[in-house]
This record gives sequence, C-alpha cells and structure tokens, in this order.
Amino acid sequence: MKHAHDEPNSKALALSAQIYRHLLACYPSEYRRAYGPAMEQLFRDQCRDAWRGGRRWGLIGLWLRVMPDLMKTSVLEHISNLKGRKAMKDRISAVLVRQSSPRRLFMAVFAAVFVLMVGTSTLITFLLPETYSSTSRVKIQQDATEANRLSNPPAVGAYDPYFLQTEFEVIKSEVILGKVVDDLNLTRAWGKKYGAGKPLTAAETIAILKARIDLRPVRNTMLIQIRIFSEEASEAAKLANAIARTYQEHRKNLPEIVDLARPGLRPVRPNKPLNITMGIMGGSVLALVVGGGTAGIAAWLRRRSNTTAAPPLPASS
Amino acid sequence: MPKTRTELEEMLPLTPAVFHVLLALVDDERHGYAIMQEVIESTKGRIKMGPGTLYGTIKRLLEARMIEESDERPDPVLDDERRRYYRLTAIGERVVKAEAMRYATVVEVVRRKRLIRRPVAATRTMGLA
Repeated sequence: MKHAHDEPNSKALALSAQIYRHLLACYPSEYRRAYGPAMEQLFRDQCRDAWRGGRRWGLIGLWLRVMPDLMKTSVLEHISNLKGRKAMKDRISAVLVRQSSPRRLFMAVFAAVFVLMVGTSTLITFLLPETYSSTSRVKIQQDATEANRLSNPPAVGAYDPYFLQTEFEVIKSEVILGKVVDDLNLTRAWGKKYGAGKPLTAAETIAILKARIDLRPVRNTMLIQIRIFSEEASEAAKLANAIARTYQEHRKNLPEIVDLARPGLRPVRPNKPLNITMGIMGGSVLALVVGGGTAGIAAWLRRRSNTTAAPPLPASS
Repeated sequence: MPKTRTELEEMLPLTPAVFHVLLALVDDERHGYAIMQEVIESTKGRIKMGPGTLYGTIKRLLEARMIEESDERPDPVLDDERRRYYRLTAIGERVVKAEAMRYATVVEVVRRKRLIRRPVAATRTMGLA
C-alpha cells in the first residue's frame, strides 16, 4: 500500500514550484520568456524525483543544489545579455562601471544577497520536518544489595553518578527497548514510515528508537528524565511512557513513575524564530561583505576608466 | 558554420555541461528533463545539472546552431505535448565528434604513459565503476 507521505503531489512540492516560479524573476525577461516555463516544468520533475528519493530531505537537498545554480546562472545570463562581443572580464567591468554609483550598486547587491539568504533559510526552515518531544520522569533508588556491592557505597537514596549512568545504559539496552518495540509493534509501524512498507528488523527499530532517546538526571534528585523525539506528538508521549513502564517492570517496581509524558503542543524542532533570525543575521553580514566588495570593485574600475579616458594634459607653457 | 578543421578546433574544448548535453542528443532527440536524466545516467550521477545550467547551455547551443528545436511532437498520450524537444544539428555532430576525438587523443597519451591500461581497469582504479 502506498503511504500518504509518498504521494508526490504534496503541499511541499506545490510550495517549492511556486517559490521557484517567483525566483525565475532573477533572470533577464527575454530569457525568462523563452525558457521560464520549460525550467519550471523541469524543476517540478526534479521535485517529484527528489520527493520520491528522500521526501522532505530530498527536497531540501534539491533546493541546496538549485539555489547556487539559480544565483550563478541568473548573473551569467544578465552578463551575456549585454551587447557586444567583449571578453567576460570586460563585460563584468562594463556592468559594474555602467551602474550609476557605487552606493546604488551596493544597495542593489545588498538587497539581492539579503533576500536570497533570508528566503533560503526561511524556505529550508519551513521544509524541515517538525519534531515533537515528550518527557516522562522516573524516581529511581538503589536497593540494599546493589549499594553493598561497592566497597564504600553511598547511602541508599544518595546521589551516585555510577548508579545513574548504569541505569541510563539499562534503559537504553535491548532488554528494555526490545520489549517496547514488541509491545508497540514498532517494527511494522515504522516499516510503513521508513521501510517503504516492509517491516523493519528488531535491530533496525531499536537503533531508530535509541537515536530518539535523551536521558538526563534531574539535578540534586534521584529523578531520571526520559525524553523522546518523534514527528508525531502522540507517538513521542506513547514511547516515553512505554519506556518508563518497561523499565519499572524490569526493576521489579522499584522505580516510581512520577510524571507521565503528555503529547507536546508545539514542535521543538525546527526552532523557526531562531532559524529565521540566524538567516537574517547571516544574510546581513554576507550582504554587507558582498555588497561592499562589489561597490569597492566598481569604484576602482570607475577610477581606472576615468584615468584611461582622460585627455592628455596640455604641455605647460 | 565552422567549415575548416581549424575553425572547428577553435570551438574546443567544450565545457563538461555542453559536452554532456551534446552527447545526450547523439542517440535521439530529447526534452530538457530527458537530457538531464541521460546526463545523470551517463556520468553515474556525478554531473547533476540544475534547470539554470541546463537551459543556459541549451540557449548557447541553440545560438551556436549546434542543436535545434524539433518540430515533431511526440504522441500526447505518451508525453506532455508542451515539452520542447531538441536534436543535434550537423554542426553539433561535428563538434561533439571533434571533442570526443580530443578526449580519445588524451586517453591514448595516458595509456602510452601507462597511467591506465584498459578503460575498465581505469574506472576500477579510480573508483568510478
């Protein structure tokens, strides 16, 4: 059965095609009229292939290839649009010199680089899959036999980093995670998502689950925080609670579940405000550097062309 | 149109994008997406052209009269009739042959210097197979 996520006509494809159509405005109008529809169609085909290959990640990969291509080729098309058969270097010089002033050129380049950087970071942020997290908390304690195994054991209930580390490894062990995988039938459920419909092996499923667990001690307490990440809020909560319960059973009810996980209301990743802010900051810096550099080169070329074009000074009488 | 061998040689070497687009059109006329797929296949995925590079190359090849747009349209049932098909012209064919000969000469030198012995061995050595 085909999974809903595999359908190529997803919103992400439509959004990508729409954005690409707008980005074609970077090309000269004549070129756009001649090749714009064909390029758009080709991009849609590439989007469909990228989606089939890696879904959202495939699309992100495609955008990361297409953006530099678009930036480079649009500049080249503008340059080749200039009349005359000058060498490429002369053409660039001509473009830069012909601009009215270095200040205007700086503003134009700054705006173009800034918009491209912010646009790309925003686009990638919105294409990244959303991840939710849920946390359950368990109170652990050493029993007397465990405490007596050590030569200088800490008192029962006191903070013991070795004990905590051991319990973390127990929680992440195949004994606990294998049972969670069996109880929730994750091999089949995740097989539909990640295995093209075929059930995954137990080892593969445990590896995926292990990568989603974040275990932390709650400072100055004997509490362990079991945090799980998932694309679905309800699944994250279900997994966190299942791990806590399985661990409790394994330790013969010695640990106490103090907090059950609840589905998160908002995704924790990607951090959209942070990503967009970083895009704005990075875009500003890059735009300043590129704009400043271009304006500097333009000013230098202008000075040089003025010097070359200046008539020879009359001989002093 | 380049008439003499010298005129033809002046057009060489071709950029990888131009060479691969021309190579893709040697067998058959193709539309943009099919050209891109053929290039990916023939280079084992090492050259992946974006729409900008592909259509920029096509534009330059049309201007140089190395390729031309095909008037024939495929059966609309089999393909999207809005797609534009391109085919190699006589000039394009001569240029791509000349470039292939240039590569062959280079390969001959490389073989003489025993950097590679056989094409298969070469691809294995370079990890390209």
